Amino acid sequence: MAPGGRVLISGDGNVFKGLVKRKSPEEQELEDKQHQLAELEEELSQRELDLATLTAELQSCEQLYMTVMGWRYAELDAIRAQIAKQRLESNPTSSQARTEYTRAKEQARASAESAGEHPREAAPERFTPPEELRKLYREVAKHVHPDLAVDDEDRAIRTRLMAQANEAYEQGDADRLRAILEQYEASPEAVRGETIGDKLIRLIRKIARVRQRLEAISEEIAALEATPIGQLYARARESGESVEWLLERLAKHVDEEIAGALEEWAQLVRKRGWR
Amino acid sequence: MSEEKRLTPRPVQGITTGNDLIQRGLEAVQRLSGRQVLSRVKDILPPPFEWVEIPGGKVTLKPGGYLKDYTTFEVKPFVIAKYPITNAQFARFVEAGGYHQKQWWTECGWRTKEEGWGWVITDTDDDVIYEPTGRPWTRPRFWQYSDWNQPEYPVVGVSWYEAMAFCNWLSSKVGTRITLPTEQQWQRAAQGDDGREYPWGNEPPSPQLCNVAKWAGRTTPVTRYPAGASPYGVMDMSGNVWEWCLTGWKTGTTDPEGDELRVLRGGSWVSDHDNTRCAGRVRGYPGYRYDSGGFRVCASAAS
Repeated sequence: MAPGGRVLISGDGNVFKGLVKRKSPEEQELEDKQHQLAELEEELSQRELDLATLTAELQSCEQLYMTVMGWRYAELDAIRAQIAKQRLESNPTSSQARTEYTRAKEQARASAESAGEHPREAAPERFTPPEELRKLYREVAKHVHPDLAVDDEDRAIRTRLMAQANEAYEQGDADRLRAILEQYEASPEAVRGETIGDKLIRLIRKIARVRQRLEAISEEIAALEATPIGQLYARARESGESVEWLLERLAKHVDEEIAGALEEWAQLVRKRGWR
Repeated sequence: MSEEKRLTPRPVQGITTGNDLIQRGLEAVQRLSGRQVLSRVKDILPPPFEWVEIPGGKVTLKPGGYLKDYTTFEVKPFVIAKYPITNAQFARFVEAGGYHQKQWWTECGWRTKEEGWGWVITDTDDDVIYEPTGRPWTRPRFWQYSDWNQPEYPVVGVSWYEAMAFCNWLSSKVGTRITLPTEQQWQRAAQGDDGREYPWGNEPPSPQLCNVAKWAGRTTPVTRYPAGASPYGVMDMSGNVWEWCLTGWKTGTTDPEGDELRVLRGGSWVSDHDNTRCAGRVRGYPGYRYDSGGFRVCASAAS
């Protein structure tokens, strides 16, 4: 750069040869690797964001599902157990009726237990991260990710900060994300002196670690998508429905099943009463 | 949450609680949307059309063809049409150009149709032989005869190939696979769980229950015999028209390609009582077009 901020350019458009220091092969390699790592960091931060978003979305979907559907299935199973009981009482010697009743009772108990943790009131709010929050999280992941650590000590710090960042993201806490970012940027990691060879080795290690993490993220996302709630969520998205609408439809269906089961139970009770 | 736990791959179980209840909901949603898709058939075909849900269970078939002995099969839940396909319903396929669109036909089916296989009286004697006539089929046999072509009467004069082409066309219109029932599915829909002789029970056929033994002298509307419905409410399973099944007679194949003989079930307006039992099985060349042969459609319950 020439004084006054202008670049000196020769007639054929090349930068003055006298001003350019030829890079050593090591320096060139270092630059290539730095470039490669920068690209991978970009990808990593995006994928970490994808994973954190999916995790939080599925968690909130699951909360909602259990609030809307949990007690309904528990109620349905309780009525079915009562029906099985009526059948057994009107036919006490039938081993099939006994097996049925045992099975229905166990199912009712299990459903009540699962549903019990989720009261039917107060449907939780769905996780909907604003763009600003997503951007902040990506920044944090890019700078703070433990797989970009230089040594064990640094890795420990980054691991702690990244865990805090995940929590802050799920809670929609932008201020805390910003604080995490500032906190890390103020850390002395970058200023340590070292040879090109040291730097190169460290870069190569970082690249390998980031690649491993990218693979692990893909696996985690696939595992999340394969869960029942992941499949329900995907179904809603594919058909352009909201999860709320899908659950509303499902709730209506189970309500009809409950009504049908109640009717069946009432009929059985009436029938036994006439004897 | 501990730091380690938060950053190492999280166990899926840790993410979701109440997995069983969610799995149930997922299955219910899958069934519901399957039903929604299947109900589109009613927008495409004129009434009467209903799907009947048949629960999974066992069915025992008589020996014959690929079955050397009585054999019990486990059938998964499925849905089947309440009535045989009517003339008015089959007309939608004819009007849509189905006889000219190769994509709905199997290879053998298309060739047989193009060659116009049919019964021909030989010059030398009065023998009737089945051979190519050179006149491609463009509609069911008997399509123009008022004895057979009334809107709510079952379509007759359709080969197995035409029945399959209709299924393929309908599948594409609806967006899910609709096909002929296998003979196991057919018998389960007719018989239910108690091994009954006839769809309505064990009493012999009567003119209030079904159209057999030439009592009516022809086919009858598919809604005429509610008293003869199967335990699931499927109608006309005994008599009126023989119904093509997907199943091949010799090997039991359900692959639609090839020219293997296919199973027919249920007997027709001509049949004696034996052939009209739930368990009665006969076979037919897939290119034959009987005046007593029609079909009904079915689909997987989870489609």
